[in-house]
Amino acid sequence: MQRAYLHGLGIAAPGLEDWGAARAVLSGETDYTSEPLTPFRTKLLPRNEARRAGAAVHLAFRVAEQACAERDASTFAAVFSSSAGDIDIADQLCMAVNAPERAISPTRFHNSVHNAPAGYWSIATGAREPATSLSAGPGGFMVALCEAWGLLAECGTPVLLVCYDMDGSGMLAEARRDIGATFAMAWLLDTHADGAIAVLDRPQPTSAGPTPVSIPALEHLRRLNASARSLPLLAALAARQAAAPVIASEQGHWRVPLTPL
Amino acid sequence: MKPLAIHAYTATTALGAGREALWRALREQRSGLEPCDFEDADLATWIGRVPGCEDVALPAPLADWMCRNNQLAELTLQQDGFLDAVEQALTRHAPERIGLFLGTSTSGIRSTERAYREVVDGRLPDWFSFEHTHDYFALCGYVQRRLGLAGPALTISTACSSSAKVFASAARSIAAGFCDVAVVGGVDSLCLTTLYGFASLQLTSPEPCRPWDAQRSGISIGEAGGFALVGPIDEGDSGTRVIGIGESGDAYHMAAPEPDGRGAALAMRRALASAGVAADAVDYINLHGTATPANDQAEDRAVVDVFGASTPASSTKGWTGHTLGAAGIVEAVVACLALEHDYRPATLNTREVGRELSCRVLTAPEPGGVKRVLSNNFGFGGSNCSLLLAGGAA
Repeated sequence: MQRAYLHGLGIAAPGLEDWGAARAVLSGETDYTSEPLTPFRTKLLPRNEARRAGAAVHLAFRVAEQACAERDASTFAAVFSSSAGDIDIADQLCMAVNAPERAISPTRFHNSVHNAPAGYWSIATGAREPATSLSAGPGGFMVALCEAWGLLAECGTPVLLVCYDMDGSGMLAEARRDIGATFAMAWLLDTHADGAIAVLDRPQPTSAGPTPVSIPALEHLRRLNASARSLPLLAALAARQAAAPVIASEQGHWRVPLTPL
Repeated sequence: MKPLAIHAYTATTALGAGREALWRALREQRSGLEPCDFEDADLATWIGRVPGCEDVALPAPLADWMCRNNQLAELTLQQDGFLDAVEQALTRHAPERIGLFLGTSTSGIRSTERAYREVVDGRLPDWFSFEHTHDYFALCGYVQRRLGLAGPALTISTACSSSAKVFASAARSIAAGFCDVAVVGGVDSLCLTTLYGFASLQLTSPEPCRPWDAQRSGISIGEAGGFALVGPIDEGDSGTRVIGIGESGDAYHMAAPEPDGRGAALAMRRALASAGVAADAVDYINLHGTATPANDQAEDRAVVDVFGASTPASSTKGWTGHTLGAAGIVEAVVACLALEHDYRPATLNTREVGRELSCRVLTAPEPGGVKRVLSNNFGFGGSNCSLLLAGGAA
């Protein structure tokens, strides 16, 4: 497969509340301010499930719902990528097993699996298509894009790509590498061009250095947050300009040609 | 799908290091399970613990990656000539062209559990490094450096289907041209989070697990590691290969299987379809067979729905315990052994098969005529993956 078509996208980060806000900032129409994200709770899950789902699930849904925009997602395959998932749940579990009574909440335990967002998404949308939940450290976005590429070539059904790297407040979040701030993005990829926002050419490994973004605060985030490494591609989309930025990954850098349609 | 040749493979479980230890125990009907003695866990359950795991040293330059999960990875890599096989592959392929796809459910979380005992003034001890141990990607980070690989690398963490799904990701990456060959596998090691977590869901058994038994009462948690070197079939490859892979989602519940097993049946059907073979071409099914009442019931319905009630099937969890994120690769290795030795293992600890279960579960081993083996792995979040393997003759 030489080309994939982008049919929907979503974003959530401080100061980038949704694609409308992000497009204005990334195209230079408005200045970037790091306004905290407004609270979000998915309406796709039954109330009970929504209450039990952890913060990572709601974050992943937030961008996935934007990318799918009312489409029937039940036939979509999916890739969910996050370096550490919901790190505060791991913090709470490690605290609990060291407490005298060792009382672990069953809900917290099943929410601790890395594929909790994929599982809840399948429940919410009725999707029974393949879904990969992966972690690739700081290279998460690029590796996940390659996995989505392979899945699209294999299945031929639309593939939802969701990358989310979430801030935390527990001891464990403090002890890990700085990820800057929460950043999540989603793309809906398909094999056909009708109605597409942009076309992507097959990613190619390159020895060139990563492409920066021009806004200093977002460039800082791009360097720290695995999901924010998608920003050069999002900036090209916002500017409606063809570009072939180099996306950083620990497994080598990749050039990703993108042309807005 | 284009079949994947398995050029080398290995597994280390409670039965010992290397696939020969696993094979001997399968033949001798000898379980690796023992009453839980992990750390100071106070749980009435049985576990499958890898002997000597905590004594394994990592190569000095990789000392930062020290944790139980990477010790188990190291011990596993040292068996069955696997390091040599990868070195051989590196003479034919650039490091950038060898992918790495590994599964785990909890990676090195045991290090974090230990660090939380040493908290001073709300801070974790200086020796603790999240990125080298607990991070899901720490497993790949260690193995990639240990093997000298530089291709696409990712950890799949989809609970108990993790290290079955790595075969699917590797196949896709090879088909898309992102790598030429791949190391796949999985490592999951014992930790208090998993032991107490499954106990909180009342899914751990007070006795060695008894898959498909009328009296089955839950899982025995195990730890294990396994690896395989896979790639396109070359001329002259006559060994075991992966001919079909099926993935699906239950779209039902986070921690319970869909009672009718529809998602599981879909994964099995997709594995058959991707291989282009009919259900009656399968000679043995290695069941997920965790031994919880609900899991075995759902899987039984799914198997009967796809295969009818005559295809021989068994669960090998009674030997190894449920090795969670490593179960996919361990049972893929069991499938390789079944093909190589033309032998279907029995289902250990199963005395009386539950009356409500109707697939043909083996309570005694059955040799002969094993050409194609299906291996099932299902996990939390309704994540299902079935692998179809064929021997050289099929």
